[in-house]
Amino acid sequence: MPSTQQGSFTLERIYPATCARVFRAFADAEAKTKWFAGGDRWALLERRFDFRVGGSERLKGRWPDGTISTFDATYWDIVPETRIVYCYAMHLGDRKISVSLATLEFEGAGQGTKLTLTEHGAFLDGYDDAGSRERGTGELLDSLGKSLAN
Amino acid sequence: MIKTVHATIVVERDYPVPPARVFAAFADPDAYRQWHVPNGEWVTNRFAYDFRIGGELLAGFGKPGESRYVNKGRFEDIVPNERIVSAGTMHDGDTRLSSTLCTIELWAEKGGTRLKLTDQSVFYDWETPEDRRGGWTEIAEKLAVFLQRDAA
Repeated sequence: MPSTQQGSFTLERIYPATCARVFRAFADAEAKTKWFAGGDRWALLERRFDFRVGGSERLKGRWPDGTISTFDATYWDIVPETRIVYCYAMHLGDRKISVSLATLEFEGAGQGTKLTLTEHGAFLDGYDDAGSRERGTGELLDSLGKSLAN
Repeated sequence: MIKTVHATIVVERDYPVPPARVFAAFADPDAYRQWHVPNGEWVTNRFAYDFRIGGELLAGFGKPGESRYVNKGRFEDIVPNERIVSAGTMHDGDTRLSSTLCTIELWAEKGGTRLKLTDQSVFYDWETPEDRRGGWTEIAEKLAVFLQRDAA
């Protein structure tokens, strides 16, 4: 029997900032640190960021219950202020729970920027699903919005 | 500028051999190289294939002597005889055509193996989901021919 569940979702946000600024929130290490993290009770263990086609990124941290999560990404396509595509694997402890392909598309919307995120996921062995990933990713995009306001 | 297209393509196929035999056709670079390109007239001119989690693959193929199409990828997950997950980008020369998350699942069924391939892709340029589905269908057939020949 299959051991994987595939799922996809799309999220849209309109930010009151230029395309260049919203793109930089994903492309610049310092700007990304402001919103790409686990929150107040999450402890950073490792952060690596090499933003170029073929480059990789890692974000590893410990949650209040002791669970260690690891995000490991590889960048596959970057078109400045237009598009970013990366593949990422998520681990909880030693267990790989998913592999996903994420596409970010940036376009002008009035005075601001519309960001469209499309994610295709392969959820492994029943440990996660597209619905919970969609909620978590939506929260990150809201944190990104707050980081732009500062 | 061409708008991106997102698609999920599923191709299923039964093979009259055990899952370990089908898995070996993916795991062994010399075996994989023999059947992995769709068009019968195309050949693989550049090839690197490091079959382990985190290992990279590179295949340049096209007409004899040409490597017009280059697929670069990385193995994201491997469970022997059950699952292979890879991600990568297809190029036409220097142009990136598409990026793909590809999941191959194998399980025993009816005395043979059911293969389920799920291709989750974003297309950037002229390549379409229909092109991709046609390609995978041809590749699944080439794998059938390879397994039959391998058994003989």
